[in-house]
Amino acid sequence: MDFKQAAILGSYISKDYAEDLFRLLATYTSISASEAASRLDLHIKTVQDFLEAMSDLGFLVKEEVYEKKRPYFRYMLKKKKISMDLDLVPLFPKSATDHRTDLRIRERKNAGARFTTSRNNQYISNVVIWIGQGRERTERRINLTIPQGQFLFHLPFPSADFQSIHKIMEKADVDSSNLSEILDIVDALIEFNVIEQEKQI
Amino acid sequence: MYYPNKLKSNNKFHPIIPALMMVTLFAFAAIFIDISAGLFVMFICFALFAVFSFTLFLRTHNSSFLVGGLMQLLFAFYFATLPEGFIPFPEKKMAWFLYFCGIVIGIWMIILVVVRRKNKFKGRELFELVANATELASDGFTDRPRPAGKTTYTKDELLGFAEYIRRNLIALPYMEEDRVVLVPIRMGDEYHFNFSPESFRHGRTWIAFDFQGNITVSMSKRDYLAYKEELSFDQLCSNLGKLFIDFFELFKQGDGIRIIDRLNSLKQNPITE
Repeated sequence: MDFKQAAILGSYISKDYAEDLFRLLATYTSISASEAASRLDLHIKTVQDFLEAMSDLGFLVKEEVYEKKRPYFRYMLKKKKISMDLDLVPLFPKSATDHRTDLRIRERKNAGARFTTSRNNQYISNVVIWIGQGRERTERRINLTIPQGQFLFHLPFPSADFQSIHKIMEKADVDSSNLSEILDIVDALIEFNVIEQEKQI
Repeated sequence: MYYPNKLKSNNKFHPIIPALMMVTLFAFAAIFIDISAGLFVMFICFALFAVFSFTLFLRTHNSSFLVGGLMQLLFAFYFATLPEGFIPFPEKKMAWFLYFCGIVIGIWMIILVVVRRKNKFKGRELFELVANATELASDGFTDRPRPAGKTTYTKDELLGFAEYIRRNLIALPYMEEDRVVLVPIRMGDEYHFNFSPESFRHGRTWIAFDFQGNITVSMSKRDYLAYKEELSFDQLCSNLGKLFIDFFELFKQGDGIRIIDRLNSLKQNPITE
């Protein structure tokens, strides 16, 4: 199950009517959305969405039936057990010795970000970025971990030479085990135009 | 050594504004009331200037403000004891003695101000020295502080250095829990500092020495824009940190006077700049 499917399952399974609907599905050989809705006194759209989602996830079998009226769907329980198996491996960084540590970066000119230093003033505690224009302008604050704050404290100024992430981490005395969170904040700040990377020739 | 000025010129009128205000008030009082009222205004003005100087002495520990305050107090006394003043002196000898004291202190003051530059706030010299070896680079400003290095010193040495820097009007120290922050002060800034020392430091350039030996520099936009040209902001901050590390080393070796010589060698105007 991927993250998206798990999110759908989680959101439906957490509804207070979910158990009652599964009980109906277990009791009846097959049931339509209107039958289930009338039985539980719920809105038909609510039940229909639930049954459709469970059917898409493969827990129910959906059968189109034709009586004298227009066609509709009847649902049957396919599994007696639902297990959620979520794979987090794709979310991990590729490797600790990522080649991106050679990426040479510095603060972008006129980045417009506000850096707040920590109480002991030896690292940055948060970065505030303004997003949007005019009345639509909103403030986005990113609170930093201590290694991220130490790293940004040593980030080269806009008029300074670019430096590699590896070198900045060395200057900032940040342990290589924190590399993934450093790369994460660098990526975020590149996206918000606060950090620029040296153009490869 | 010749240093071309890299800072924009100061407002040259700031030293005479209080004097101009005083003369205007005197003229109004003398014309619309009488000469005694005019002399009373002069007495009040000089007494206030003396209070200002004594406060500045207490805040900076610079003896020239004590001398200046004494001189202003004698001037106040002079205007009060004139025949038309509100406490005229019956004894002429006594009056002459006081006037003589005033003249002596006045000469002493001129020597302190013009020759020895004792009451010169040296922030401008600092910024000139820092800019001397800095390249041009546009749009380099950031409000982020910059780590300027690490050096070794004891807490007592740091406190001694901060006191030396304060007494010689190079920067004003602010003691924090785990560090000392030095805020350079320029001529004309003394009014803000004297009236409100705590608010003075906000939005200004600072150099911080923590008790672990870390040195951090932050240059304000106001000071960065005071340069005629767009200089590399990174180099300015780095040079400011290095300059203070050099000054600290000189101080530790007992060569503090070299710091003053280096700053005075720029020969900035002792009154206006």
